[in-house]
Amino acid sequence: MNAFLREHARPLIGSALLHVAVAAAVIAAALVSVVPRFVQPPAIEAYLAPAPRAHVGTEPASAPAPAPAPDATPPPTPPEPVRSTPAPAPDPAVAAREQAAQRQAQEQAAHRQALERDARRKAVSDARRLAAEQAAAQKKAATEQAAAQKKAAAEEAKQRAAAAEARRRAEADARARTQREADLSRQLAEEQSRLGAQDAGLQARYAADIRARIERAWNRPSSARPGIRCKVDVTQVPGGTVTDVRVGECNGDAAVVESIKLAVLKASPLPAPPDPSLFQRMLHLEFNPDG
Amino acid sequence: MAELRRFLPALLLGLLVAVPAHAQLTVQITQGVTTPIPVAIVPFAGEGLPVDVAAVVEADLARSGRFAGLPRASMPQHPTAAAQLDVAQWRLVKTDFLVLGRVRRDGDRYEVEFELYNVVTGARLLAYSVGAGASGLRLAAHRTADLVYEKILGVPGAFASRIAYVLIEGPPASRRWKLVVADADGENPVVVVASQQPLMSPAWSPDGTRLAYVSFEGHASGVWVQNLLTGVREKVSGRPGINGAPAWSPDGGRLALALSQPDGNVDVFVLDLSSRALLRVTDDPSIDTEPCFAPDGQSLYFTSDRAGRPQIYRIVLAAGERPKRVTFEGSYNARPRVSPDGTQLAVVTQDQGAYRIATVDIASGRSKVVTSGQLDEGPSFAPNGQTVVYAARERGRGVLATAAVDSGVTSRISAASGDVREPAWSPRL
Repeated sequence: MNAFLREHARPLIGSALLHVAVAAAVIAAALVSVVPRFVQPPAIEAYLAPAPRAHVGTEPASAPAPAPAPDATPPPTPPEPVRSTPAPAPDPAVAAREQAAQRQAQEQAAHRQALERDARRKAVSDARRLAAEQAAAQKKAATEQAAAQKKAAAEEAKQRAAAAEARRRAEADARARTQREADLSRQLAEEQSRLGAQDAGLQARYAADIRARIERAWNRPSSARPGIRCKVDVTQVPGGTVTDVRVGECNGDAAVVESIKLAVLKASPLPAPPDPSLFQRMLHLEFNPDG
Repeated sequence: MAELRRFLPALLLGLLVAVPAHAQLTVQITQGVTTPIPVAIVPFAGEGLPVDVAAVVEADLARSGRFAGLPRASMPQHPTAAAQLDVAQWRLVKTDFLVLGRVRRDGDRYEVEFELYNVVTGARLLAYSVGAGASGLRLAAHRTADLVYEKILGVPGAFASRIAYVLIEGPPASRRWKLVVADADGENPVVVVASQQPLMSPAWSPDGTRLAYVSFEGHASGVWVQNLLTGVREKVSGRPGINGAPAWSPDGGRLALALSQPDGNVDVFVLDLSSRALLRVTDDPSIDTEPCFAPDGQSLYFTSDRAGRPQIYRIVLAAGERPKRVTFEGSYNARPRVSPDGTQLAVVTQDQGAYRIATVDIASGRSKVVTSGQLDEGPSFAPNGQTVVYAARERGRGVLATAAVDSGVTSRISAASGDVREPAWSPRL
């Protein structure tokens, strides 16, 4: 082992550094990427559903429904009483005044009519002018809107293009990253299998040591005949002391189960592995008695 | 940023998959030992008892070859109830299991209460009460041993069963033959028949109520069946010549016998006990003898010297086929007895110039010598198939001994003076 270490010190250190670097990158990535998540409002949150309360105090969070708008039309005013005055009797002196007044009235009426005509004419021309102005304004607005729409469309297209570009870049990045990860994993696996092949022999020796110890301790009951298969999970602590024995799937009877538990406990402390790195807390045993 | 987040899990997963350097270790366990399991049988509480129950239990377990009792002097405490038990103290004396208990007297009855603990895990595996009549305290102790044995080894014990054997007493001039039935530990021997002529080959009926045996009373061999409860006995075969080697069918309705023909040739027959009809099973100029039914009642194992030396053969009763040879290891295999599960035979085999007991795996033909005497004879399986009883030679006389089939551990069963022959282990009673 030591000779091996000396001989392969550099690759091993390199490998260790590579492991550390990968782990650091992963942890950094995890930290960087994970932290903002907590700031962001969570997409889903679980709450304890409060028991529906009877309609007490609390208002729903939404805005209160608007109060009904006051009626725009005023209430109908009551009809005003019409004052009926009796017409005065005719008077000759008054008649002349009346004629003059009549004339004056007619002149006033004509003048009024002329004014009204003028007013009407002006109104018509005003209306025409207004209409023309409105039309112009509408036309202008339409033109402006069209321009705005065109501009918006152009903007959108630009944004879409930018997004597509970003996505493409991201995907390319991701592909590259996946490739890098695969390379890393492969390197790790290769290294592992190199080490594993070396360990396999030692591990087989470890298993054989444990087997010998337990077989010496297993006082086989008469009912432990060929065909009996019992899977057993054993927990040990460094030093080999057995802390737990669990007999799982087992077609043996109670005596077989009891004998297995007793054997493992009596075999404790279990033998130490040939190399400390081979130690395993959890051991799996299969009792499979032959003839 | 968002992309990194998206790919982070994949990257992390890649690292996780890559990091564990060693696959989970799976260890296959295919072998075990059958060395004696250390067990402590603490003296039971109880005043003025006629039997030391714990001592009987311990002797039973030890005789099986699968247990080693902790001497009382080494016991750190003598608890007789769960509350008094300090498991930690027992771990220090390296015992795996512990039995404690009490005997309560109720008029002329006894109640044996006991508990079985796994000392290593501290778990109580069994809490049981066995009732017994005034004279049955030993039997209650044997039943206790049976339950402990079964809980730990997965098959019932055979301590509460009995053994029949032939006992030869006296000098040659005034020799007497006795048929004795005793407890499986040799205690409580009862003579069921005594004769001044040879008695031979006792065989238990499957229900354990009757014995078939050979008696030479009247100076001629005959096969007799005796009811053990009433003492009534009846001769079922008294043909001229040899009437020998009775063996019961599993249903108890037939006896396989070895009978001689007028020309002196011995063959195997089956006698129907109710109709007395006799069926010839073998017909060969060699000697075919010592038949034994397979547990299914469909075939017989027997000894034959048709190949020159005695070997075991098997014949199917209904098929009309020629017998097939079963034993091939060793030049001498005789006196087959089949195990209760029908998978093995106990035989007398010649091994390094001595006659010893071997078990033969019927399927493979593989044979295993389980005793180490010079002239061991008459093997018979215990009803649990774990032990065979046989007669061993010790200073010129036969003594009862047992051999554990698994481990080959043998032990002597104390028996009264005399020459013991042909023990037969009873079925479960």
